[in-house]
Amino acid sequence: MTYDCSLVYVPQKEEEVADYDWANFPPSKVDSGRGSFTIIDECTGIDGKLITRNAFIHGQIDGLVFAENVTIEKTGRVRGVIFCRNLTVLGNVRANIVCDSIFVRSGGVLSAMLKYKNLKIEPGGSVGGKFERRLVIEGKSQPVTEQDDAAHRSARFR
Amino acid sequence: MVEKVAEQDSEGTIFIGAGVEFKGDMTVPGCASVDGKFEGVLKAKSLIVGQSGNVSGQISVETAEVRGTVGDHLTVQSKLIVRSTGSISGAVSYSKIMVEEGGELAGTIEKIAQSAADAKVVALKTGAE
Repeated sequence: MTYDCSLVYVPQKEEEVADYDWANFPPSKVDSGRGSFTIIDECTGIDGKLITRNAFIHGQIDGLVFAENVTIEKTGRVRGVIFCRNLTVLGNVRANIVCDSIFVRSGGVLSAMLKYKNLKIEPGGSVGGKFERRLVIEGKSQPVTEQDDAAHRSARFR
Repeated sequence: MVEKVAEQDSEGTIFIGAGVEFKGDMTVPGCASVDGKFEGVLKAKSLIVGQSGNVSGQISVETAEVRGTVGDHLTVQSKLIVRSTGSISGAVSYSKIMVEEGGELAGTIEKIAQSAADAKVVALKTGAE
């Protein structure tokens, strides 16, 4: 099974990401339990969009990271926007982030407009910016309006 | 919690028990432990906010451990620890931070260099000086 990366609908609003149906996230469907992952190594830079299931970023990304699980390793540097489910930061991030869980490890530097459900910061982690906690209602995000919800569902795989 | 305060009896401490509400300015040379409600200006060496504690206003301390709620302005010169039941909102400045899973951090978060932190916190006047 493959998917057309250009057809993956990238949520435009944080509500859409928080309510995102990760089971239907195209890269996760392709992966189908094999545990595939992507490594952006130290000598790699991406200027644009990275859409994948599991990403380990040792290099640099300027742009969008859209993935289920993202780990920004010690040498990793991300500037831009991160939409994900679980984010781990050991490197340097300056981004607009919407995620479910974020874990800033020792040595991680985070400067962000951050919307999260669960936050954990290890001693030695450094954070700054504007933080906002999303409401967790029975595993779902804060309610979106019916209109937003309908628009989101129809546009998901546009 | 009382025992924790008592451990640091070398410097003056204050304990605001659950159900106690305090409004006003306070300078504490040692530890301020709050299980009740505090509103106002607080300068202390260390701040311990219990699970039932609620602190709001202008708070500047060297170290803070939060299990309850802290609002408005919080400046922590050294280490800020947010436990799993802790919640901090507003303008937060810190030098070192640790947040346990479940802890909440909301508002404007700023890391300050140790030297800048020293300048930001007004020196405490103790009787010994």
